[in-house]
Amino acid sequence: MTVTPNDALIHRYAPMVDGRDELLDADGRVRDHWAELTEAYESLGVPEMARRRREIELLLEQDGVTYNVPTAHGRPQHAWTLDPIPFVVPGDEWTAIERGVIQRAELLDLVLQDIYGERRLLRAGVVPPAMIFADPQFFRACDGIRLPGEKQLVVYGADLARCTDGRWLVLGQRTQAPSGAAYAVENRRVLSRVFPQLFHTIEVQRLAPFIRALRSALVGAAPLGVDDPSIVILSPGALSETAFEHASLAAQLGYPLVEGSDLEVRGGRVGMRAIGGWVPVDVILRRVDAGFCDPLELRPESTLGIAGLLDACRTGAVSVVNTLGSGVLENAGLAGLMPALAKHLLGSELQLQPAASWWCGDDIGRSHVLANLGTFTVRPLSRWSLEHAIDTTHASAAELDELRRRIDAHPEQWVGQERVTPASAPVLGHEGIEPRAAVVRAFAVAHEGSYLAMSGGLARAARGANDPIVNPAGAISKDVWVLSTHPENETGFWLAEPDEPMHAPSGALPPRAAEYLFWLGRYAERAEATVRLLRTVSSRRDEFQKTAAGPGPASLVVLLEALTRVTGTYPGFVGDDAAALTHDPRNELFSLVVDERRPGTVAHAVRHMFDAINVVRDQLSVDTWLVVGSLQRELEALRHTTGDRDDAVTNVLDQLLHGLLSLSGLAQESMVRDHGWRFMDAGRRIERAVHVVTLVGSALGTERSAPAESLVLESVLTAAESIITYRRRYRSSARVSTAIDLLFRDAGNPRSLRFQIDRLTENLAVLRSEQASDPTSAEVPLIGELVRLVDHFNSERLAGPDEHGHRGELEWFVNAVRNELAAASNAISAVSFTRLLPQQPMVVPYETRRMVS
Amino acid sequence: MIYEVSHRTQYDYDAAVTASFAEIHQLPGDVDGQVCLRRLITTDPASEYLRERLDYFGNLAAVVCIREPHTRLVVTTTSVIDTAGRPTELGDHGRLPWQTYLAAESTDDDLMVLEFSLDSPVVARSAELANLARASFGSGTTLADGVIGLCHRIHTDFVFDAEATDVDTSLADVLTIRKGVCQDFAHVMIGALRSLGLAACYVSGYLETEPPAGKPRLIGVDRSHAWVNVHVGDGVWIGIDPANDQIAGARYVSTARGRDYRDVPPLKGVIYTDSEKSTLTVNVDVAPV
Repeated sequence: MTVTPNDALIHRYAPMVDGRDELLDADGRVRDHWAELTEAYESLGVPEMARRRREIELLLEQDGVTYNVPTAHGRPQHAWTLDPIPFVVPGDEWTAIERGVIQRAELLDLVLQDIYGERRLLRAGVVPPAMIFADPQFFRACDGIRLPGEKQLVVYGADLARCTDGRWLVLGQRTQAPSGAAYAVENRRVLSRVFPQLFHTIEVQRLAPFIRALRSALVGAAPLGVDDPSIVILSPGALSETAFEHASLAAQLGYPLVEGSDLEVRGGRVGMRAIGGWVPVDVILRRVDAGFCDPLELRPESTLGIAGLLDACRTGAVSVVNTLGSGVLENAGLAGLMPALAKHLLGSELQLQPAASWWCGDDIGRSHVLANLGTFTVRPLSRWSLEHAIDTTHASAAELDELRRRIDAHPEQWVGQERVTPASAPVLGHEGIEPRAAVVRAFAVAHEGSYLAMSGGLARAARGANDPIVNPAGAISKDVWVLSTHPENETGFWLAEPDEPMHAPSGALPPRAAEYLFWLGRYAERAEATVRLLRTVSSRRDEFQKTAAGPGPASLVVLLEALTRVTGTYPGFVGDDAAALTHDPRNELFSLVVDERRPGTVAHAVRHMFDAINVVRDQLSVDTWLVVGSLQRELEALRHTTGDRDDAVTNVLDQLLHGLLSLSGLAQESMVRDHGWRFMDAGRRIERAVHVVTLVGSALGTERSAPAESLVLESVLTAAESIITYRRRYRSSARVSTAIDLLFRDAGNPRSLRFQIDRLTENLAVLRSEQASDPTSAEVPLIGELVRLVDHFNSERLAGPDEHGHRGELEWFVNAVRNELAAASNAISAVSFTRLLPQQPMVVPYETRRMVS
Repeated sequence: MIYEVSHRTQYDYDAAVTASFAEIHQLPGDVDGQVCLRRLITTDPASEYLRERLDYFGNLAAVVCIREPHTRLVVTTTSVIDTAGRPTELGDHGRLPWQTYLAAESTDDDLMVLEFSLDSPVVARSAELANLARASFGSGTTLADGVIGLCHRIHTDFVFDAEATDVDTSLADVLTIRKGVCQDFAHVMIGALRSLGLAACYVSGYLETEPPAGKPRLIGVDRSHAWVNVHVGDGVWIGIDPANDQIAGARYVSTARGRDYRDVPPLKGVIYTDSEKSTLTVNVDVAPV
């Protein structure tokens, strides 16, 4: 079947002149395997496709899919970009690619075993020894490390491009910690939600078997004799470029996401310093570059690793996947040797050819590369070196001279590669479908004595027609659809092979995660409480801003002062400018909502929630992003509002409250009551307790005229979400003592101090009972003094003013409770979050002896 | 000769250290003609974990972990070595023109010959180093004469100065200031030989020091030492000491070889502490038995 491309969506589609195109053949006809899709897109039309793209963006944002890009100011998060149009490959063509990828994985596995084993390939000169010796990813300290399983290379990634003649070439290989598999799964998840009908009509091969195979490969890599291994995913942290992928993999596989500081080697074994004790770790899927993994034997300044890890690998106490040192296979010189290695090691032809390349470390290669400066791409031997690949076609004569000089100085450090123009693939542009150069990353994982390739992958297309394909932030990602000839039915990651043992995911919680969950609880509650208070203030303003004097304006002054004290945003409404600010509080109130850098504001709390969520995202419901993303959007919109600020603030406060309530709903309804939840809830309880006592103390610390006091009381009860109960219970009149009863003492009021202390007691008791005795961490604290305070106060006495109208007992009580809460918060931090003390390198002895003779 | 070597490294901290991990390269192996009769590592506080192994370069290396909180750490290695079998002269080795020994053309099965002729973390080959070497390596010079000449030249041209360099001084700076300690002398000689295409490695170990005439031998005032092993063909390596302008003979004890100092510091490690200041005290004693 052929379709002529004369329809609205693709009629402008004109493949690039000097290349091959995925969608159209040389005669401009739509290729067969695209026919069904193009028809579907035609019937949707350009506006609908654009709408679907926005839906994709929204879904990606809701899932918090990011790719972080290093900049001078840290690493801002970039939203992940996914093209609505997949990269489509016919099943039989993919089968050939798969075979080629698996053959390469087999081959590289043998090379890896040899490089860190007998080094016969080097001795025989099949691989020039100097090529390996010059590679910074050849770690001599890793010599002799072996995984128990058959394969030493467990996960493999290959970057493929279809070149002008239609053949697939390998542009690069990933053997250290190939990233992209979890992004591929996310891309598929999103596209299948946005184009459900396409997945009904077109049989696309599933990605789940790959993730399952990865899980069994990790289990299979466990140290000998360990049947039910404890497995973790080691990440460099939330700021790493691919932090989303690490957390997503952790969530998909059901293994804890840890950082180096969560792990510790004790007695030659690796373990996790978890809440509840020290949990031995058997297998580490690492996303940290090898050089950073052990400050003892590799880079001494690295704080991303675990001191003693290498020795634990040597003794086989722990298995690190991929093995430390596997990055040597990314050596750019090896690429050109792959055909010869296939013959030498496998006795067969290499199925997927590399882009033609020459290592400058030998004379023939060097002279060939030097002769072709101006057409070749010149790459450093290791992509981990400080050098970058240089496209010499765009270099000036002076730049070429400089490059020539550098190659001559250290020829072994450079590789020249023929430029490959990848085939163009269709992407959705603004007015239709446009061609963009695209490459595909394919994945393989060790499986049943050989490898299993992902039936799909991660494609990246250039942003502009003439742009290079760079890191994912600078490119558009595409889902790779491998068409199936038979119906696909397996879908879930949890669909186990019959012989695959199923494991309950480990409940072990790293202390770092506990700390962030605790603070997530505190900041979420802080944001919510601040929003409630601001809303209360704002409605009082609406009521009284036209009134010059009397109880109304007086109560407003009290509330504004309380606002400053509760949020700690001094000087605010209690400082030297208080009179002016109170007269026109609009700017200050606006700042209390949007000013992210000012502690105490709503935006500050939301920002810290967001940072905490980034760290512990593997612990949380994916819907969390739906909420937090919208909070940030609201605040951002408010910052740029052009209309009436008061109205905008009021609107946004309502929206924010809505979002924050959803978040606490998620915490209550969608989280298992495990250690992590206990910490988060403890944070929320402490924050809410601090808030309610501070609010009551600062708003009601001084007796006012009866009308003013009753207005203040009403606002306090509103802000503390207890007004309805209060009205129902104490219809007759508003009294401070009964308000204190409801807000402090009532064990049934989920907003009361008493209620918070009870929940806190319960959380801490559970954590204490499950905390293993571990000499390096202190115990979960008791909060006996807090309980005693809350058990023994007298509402009438707290409400009673002295002769100056000052409620001294209330002030004393509020301060006492606040101090105890601060102590409890610190104790929880100190205890459960015992971090290692700062790591430092030992001073190295530098000896200075010369013989005196 | 038989020596008993004791090497004591002491760290004093101004705050408690909760854990110390160290890698130690202080154990003499049966290499370079010497025989190690016994060896022992002790730590104070006692170690939680201690494991010896042969490293990539064939050295005895040990990883040790101390987990008892401490403000002072003492790591002591003691060993007894018979050095009678160490070569004291080049003998028949290296008697052909030096170009015969180029590492790139070596048919030796030992990959280290090639590896020790390439750049390493501290020592990069350069034209300047090649020039330094060529003053001793004429086109017809034998390897043996060239090596001895180069050793003498470095000994003469460079001034021993314990204050001039530290662990971070680059080889380029050493070549400029022409001063340094035994490590720097060794690095210069290694770099010069490699810049000609010859194989040479860094050796760390000990040297027996004689007391000044009429004075008693003092205990613990020795230091660890460093020199150069040169490949003289057929898998044979001969030690030569540019800091003392002599063959590293029977008064030397080898503990480790590497591409340069970075591969084999006597002790390196990481500690976990709030300490801001530490004092390092090293005592080495090389006593004839």
